[in-house]
Amino acid sequence: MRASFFPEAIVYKQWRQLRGWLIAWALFTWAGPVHTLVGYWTAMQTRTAYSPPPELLAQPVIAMLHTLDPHVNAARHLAMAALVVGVVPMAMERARGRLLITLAAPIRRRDLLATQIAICLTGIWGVLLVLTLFDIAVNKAFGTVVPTVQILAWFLMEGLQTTAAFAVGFAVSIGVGPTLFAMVCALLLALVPSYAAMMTTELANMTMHGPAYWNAVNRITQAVESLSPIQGPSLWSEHPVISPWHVGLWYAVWSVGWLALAFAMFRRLPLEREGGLFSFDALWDVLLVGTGLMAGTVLGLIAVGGMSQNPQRTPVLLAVWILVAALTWLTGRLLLTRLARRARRA
Amino acid sequence: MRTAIETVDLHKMFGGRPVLRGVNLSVPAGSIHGVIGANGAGKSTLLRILMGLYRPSRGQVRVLGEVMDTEATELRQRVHLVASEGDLPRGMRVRDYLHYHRLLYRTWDETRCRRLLEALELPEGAPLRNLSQGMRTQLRLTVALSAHPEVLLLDEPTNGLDPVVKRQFLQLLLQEASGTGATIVIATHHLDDLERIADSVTILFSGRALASGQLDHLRDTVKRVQAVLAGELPESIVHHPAVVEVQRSGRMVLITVSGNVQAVVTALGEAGATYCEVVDLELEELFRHFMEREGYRREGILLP
Repeated sequence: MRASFFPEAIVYKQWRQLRGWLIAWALFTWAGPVHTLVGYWTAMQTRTAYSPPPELLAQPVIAMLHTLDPHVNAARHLAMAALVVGVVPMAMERARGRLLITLAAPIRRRDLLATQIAICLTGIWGVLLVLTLFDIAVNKAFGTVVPTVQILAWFLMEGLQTTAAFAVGFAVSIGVGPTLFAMVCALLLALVPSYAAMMTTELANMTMHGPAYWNAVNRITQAVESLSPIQGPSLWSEHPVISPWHVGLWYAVWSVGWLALAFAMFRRLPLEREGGLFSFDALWDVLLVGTGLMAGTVLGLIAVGGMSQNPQRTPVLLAVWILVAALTWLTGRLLLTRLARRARRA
Repeated sequence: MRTAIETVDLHKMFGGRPVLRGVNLSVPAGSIHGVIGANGAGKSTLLRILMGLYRPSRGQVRVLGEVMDTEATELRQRVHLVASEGDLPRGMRVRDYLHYHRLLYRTWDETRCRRLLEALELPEGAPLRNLSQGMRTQLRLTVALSAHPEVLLLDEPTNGLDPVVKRQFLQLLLQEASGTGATIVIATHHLDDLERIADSVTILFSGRALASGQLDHLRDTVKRVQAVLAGELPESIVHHPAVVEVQRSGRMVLITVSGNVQAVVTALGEAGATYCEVVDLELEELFRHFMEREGYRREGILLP
């Protein structure tokens, strides 16, 4: 027999808790396009003999349809907003010990998570769908500036990208307690492909090689960078290294992976650690390794500052990078073990 | 008598630090059981394990004959926790909060809920964030009693309640235990409240159960002898193995005895006591006795 009351009770509570955030998400997504259209309409209404011609006034709308950007660099902004939407549901549950109260009720952990995901993703995709319909209507009204299929493709890709950003935020919020810290951690994890691309460029030491090598490295880094849901693929690039649809598929796999991790973590979540920085000890190691890698990058780049023409640049950078990362992890681990021992004695 | 709650050799560690150490608990169905202890003794942890919120590090927990764990969702239809910590949900009013629980519990009793709302004067339209601590506690109790639980776990339930509401609250608990046969476990520092309603208690100290059982039975283990004695108190009484504490004020002698009280009474009689009476200790004194036996004693502080 099913013991939990999914969906009604949980949906009711989660909807009441999350609706404000989903409304904010909708306003954020729709604000740009609506503002652009209203701007055009106002300009047309107040047009005088000295005003620019209607074609010129329509330029912002035409540009919007060409780029399909609700905002400048929309993909990035929307992805970051989706990441925040991902952190919020669990952060709201965890604030002030609410999760303990929620789980004291006859609620299955997985139902709670499934409901949160369902509500948020319905909100995210629903808002994007409305925007897509809006774009299609405006596109028609302005004489089909872009093919409708392009707008639909944008919708699908944007949906997958924001879902991927949402998923990483959602999973991180299970393991990381403080909301802002969870957002920062999720952002950093979502940017790991960008970081990998940057390190590839640095380790490739391109100044030592010819244009063909640069080109190859650039194509690799571009491809790796597009794997980050914050960066996104170049949808309209003529010769993309990886097809946007493959990147879309990657985002789907990424989302499923992070959400599966979220379920696995939440099932094991020790409620007695509520209020702590991390819900699992192993996350301290992730933090230490991450900090070590970032510190290693900075120190490594300082160390190879004047070595752009030196063939030893890559080995030196690699050595400093790995050494600092390992030392940071080791020192941090020792410190944590000592602190834990002291806490036990106390 | 059927056992509603049973723990066997219950251990809980937090970050390598023991919080509960081998707690054995047995609460008969339909009784009111108090869990008392110093701050940090493990009372809330025990209740959360009983609710299946925390996983025990070792040992077994059975509630209503079933194993309680984090996934015992069906069992939690019949067990309810009123926690001292944990905020109420955001973005809800009192009526929304009640509706959420109405959807959640199959055994929800709307008539009971209406009656309690009326009696406790809870404003249905008020946003939860505007409720005082006392009102929040009353709302939680309304939810708990409307859900008709077979086991009700209360963690510091009378915190923030004024004396009038507290009395009403305790009366409700008594009614619940006697009327519906619900088993109630209360973790509290308010020993006078507990003394009025509890059938049995468990005294926790540093995660260990120092004593557990019927209140009357615990009272039998430690007694106070009041005597009027003109002369010196004989050494045989002062150093008697059952004597825990001796207080003297003029001719009045108060002796706390753990064990053979009759021997002390006889010795007092032989010493010429003109009056001698054996009285029960109040729960607070009983608690202090157990705590002091463990070396838990706080002296008064004289501020400079």
